[in-house]
Amino acid sequence: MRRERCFAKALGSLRDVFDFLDAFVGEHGLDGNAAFYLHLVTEEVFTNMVKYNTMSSHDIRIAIDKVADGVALELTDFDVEPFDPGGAAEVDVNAPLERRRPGGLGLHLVRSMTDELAYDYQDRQLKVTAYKRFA
Amino acid sequence: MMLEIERTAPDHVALSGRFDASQEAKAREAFDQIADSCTLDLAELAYVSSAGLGLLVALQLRLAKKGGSVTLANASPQVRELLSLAGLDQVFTVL
Repeated sequence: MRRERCFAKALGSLRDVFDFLDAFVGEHGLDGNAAFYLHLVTEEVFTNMVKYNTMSSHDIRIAIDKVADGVALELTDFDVEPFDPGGAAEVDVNAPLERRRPGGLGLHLVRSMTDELAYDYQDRQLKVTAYKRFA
Repeated sequence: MMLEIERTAPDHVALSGRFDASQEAKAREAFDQIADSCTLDLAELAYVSSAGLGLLVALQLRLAKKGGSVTLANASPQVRELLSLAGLDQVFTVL
């Protein structure tokens, strides 16, 4: 069953976000790996919305649903300027230490750990959807 | 489960709990106290995100400028996978 809830657009909301995800994990009997994945992907997308879409203080909506052999996550940021996180440059994970720079790693992890990832911008709403299959 | 950072020996620091973006300020303050090569024991670290990984890299960069380094020890399989996906197993010694 789809669950959804809105969270204040602040890093301080993360604890409530994780509690929300854990309730879903418990309800569906998902394992620790699934919980780790859900926490990570949700945190990375959520914190990007908090840090980079600063023109709006509207809550961020998180929806999660058990579908077929996996889980679908959807995060929606409201009243934001056009923004395409999918267009961000890939992080060079083979770069030596001295060429490592902050930024972009979270999106790289999300891309790496997700089976399907999509961005949709419409009517000043940015919707990020992620789908992950679990064995 | 908040992030806890405890120096357990002069060159040994234990991290436990959850290292998410809300813990950045706390971690930065603790890492600023590390001046020489050290081992970070991650045995009790349940979770880390890119925010935490970024601070680990920043610490490694700062120590490397003085000829030092950070060793990561006892990471969980999930944290090891993240280190690998981020290519950080190439910039840290991972035990």
